Amino acid sequence: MSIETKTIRQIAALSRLHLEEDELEQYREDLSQILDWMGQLESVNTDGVDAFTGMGGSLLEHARDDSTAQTPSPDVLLSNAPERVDGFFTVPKILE
Amino acid sequence: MSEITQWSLHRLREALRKKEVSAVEVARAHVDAVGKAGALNAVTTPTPERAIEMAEQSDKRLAGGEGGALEGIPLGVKDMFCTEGVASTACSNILEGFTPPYESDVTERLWQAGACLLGKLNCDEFAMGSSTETGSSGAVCNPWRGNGDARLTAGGSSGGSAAAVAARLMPVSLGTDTGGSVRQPAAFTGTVGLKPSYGRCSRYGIISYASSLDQAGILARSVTDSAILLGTIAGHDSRDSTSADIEVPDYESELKGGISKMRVGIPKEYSVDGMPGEIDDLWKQAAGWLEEQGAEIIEVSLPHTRHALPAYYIIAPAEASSNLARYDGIQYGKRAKANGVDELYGRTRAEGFGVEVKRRILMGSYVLSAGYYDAYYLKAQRVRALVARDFDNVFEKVDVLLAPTTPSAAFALGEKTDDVLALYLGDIFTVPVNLAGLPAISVPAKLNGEGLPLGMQLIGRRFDEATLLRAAKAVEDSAGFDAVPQAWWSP
Repeated sequence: MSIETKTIRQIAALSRLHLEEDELEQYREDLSQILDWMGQLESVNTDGVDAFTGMGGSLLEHARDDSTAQTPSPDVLLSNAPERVDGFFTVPKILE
Repeated sequence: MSEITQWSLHRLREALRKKEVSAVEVARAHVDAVGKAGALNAVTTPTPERAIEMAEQSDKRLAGGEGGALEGIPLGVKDMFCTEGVASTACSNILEGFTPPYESDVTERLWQAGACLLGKLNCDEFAMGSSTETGSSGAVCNPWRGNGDARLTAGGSSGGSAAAVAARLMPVSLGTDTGGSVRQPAAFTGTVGLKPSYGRCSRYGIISYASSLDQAGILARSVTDSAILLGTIAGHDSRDSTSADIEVPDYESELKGGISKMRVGIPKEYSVDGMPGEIDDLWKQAAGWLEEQGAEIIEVSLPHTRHALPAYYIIAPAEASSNLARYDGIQYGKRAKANGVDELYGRTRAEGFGVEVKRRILMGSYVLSAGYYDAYYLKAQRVRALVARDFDNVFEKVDVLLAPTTPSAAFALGEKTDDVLALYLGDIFTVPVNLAGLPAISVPAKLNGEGLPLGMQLIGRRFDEATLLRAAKAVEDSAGFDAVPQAWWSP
């Protein structure tokens, strides 16, 4: 199966991943080859088989007490931010 | 090379308790070994000061007759674990400079038990790889060179963790295993690699790759040492709702008792075309060892085995594409120069992620996107259910399964970097276990004709690590693997 370049472009956009033209071509080839190989799953009979959704057990078993706890201070939470102003993360200007 | 660095965790523990050595002496010997092993590139962030400081605290506790299960034991952890105040980057440029303000549950348990951090260990970027060549710190070199002098891979993605233990830089280490990333490096480096059941250990604070498959794992030089370490890191954690709230046995004492009447399954589908004869021979030999010790050998069938690999390479990238969406250049890590917010995301991720990570993000986005979801992702999850059902069926007849860990010994660095599929195919024997959430272990069994280690894998019932470890001990006892790589890396 050969994927079109425009599909890769669209997938890269969905992934918020900037790709140069030569990279688009490389990933197009890679993904085409890998998807070809994955195509073998078509032959597996999965009629009536429920999709795997987890390792069993109810999440409610692990419901924790509804109690208050100390959260880290804003300073701690912002300590790794590449750019910050006062007590905030910053992003490039969104509205003109 | 200091004699102390040759000692197992078990022996170090005895010597420390009897005060034959101090924790500081033990830490210094291992810090020195790490310092001299730059050629292996196993340790990305050494923490010598912290190791000595922690050892000083251990000595105080030992002097007071206190001390935890790992008091004074120096070790390293894969760079996938968040360690408070120590850079944790998953060997990715996108997490450059990230210093976690919190500790992972599993490492927290280590420090509470008295272990000392020697450093963070090299791995494939975000644990995506099978050769430890894709990370921002470069390739790890296998301490084993066999009869040749080519530089070989230590396996992946926990290649640094395996190389460090094999080279006697530390008695034990932590890795993570999403599709074989602890067992395959263990097989390539002549070490023991234990992947616990999904849910046995908390994933809190482990940098996420594929959340339904990820699990902390152990590299050690003996089954006993891996059992000791598992006892420390296992247990329920309310911060990970998938961690199991069940009793943790005393794995070390459970090792006793032998394997008389144990039923060992030989899954016939693990014999694949093109597998070297030496691996097939070793497999038969190992079955013979277990039989001699009183086990019953039973041939079994896991009919969906060959479909596990393509299913894994759909599911894991799908989860990765979602997990890695958090790296946006805003909250932590790298941030590219950009004009708008969309450009910020796109450029940051383009500069921060390496080729293999980008490939998996694209694969994951593709199989989850409208129009392909049913054909790929949903189909893979149905196949996953069949793979898990195969195991359920055979574990009604047997207690453990015996199979090779890898279809070959360690290969040369660079050999498979241009052939993605060839690299993926090497995970054929390890991936099914992760899909089904089972525990498994690789035990070094012999050196092949080229002088390179080969591992045998045992697979257990979910949460029955005790039986698994007992079977592994039996293989270890019969194999008598005591080969040590020549320390060519140490000046």
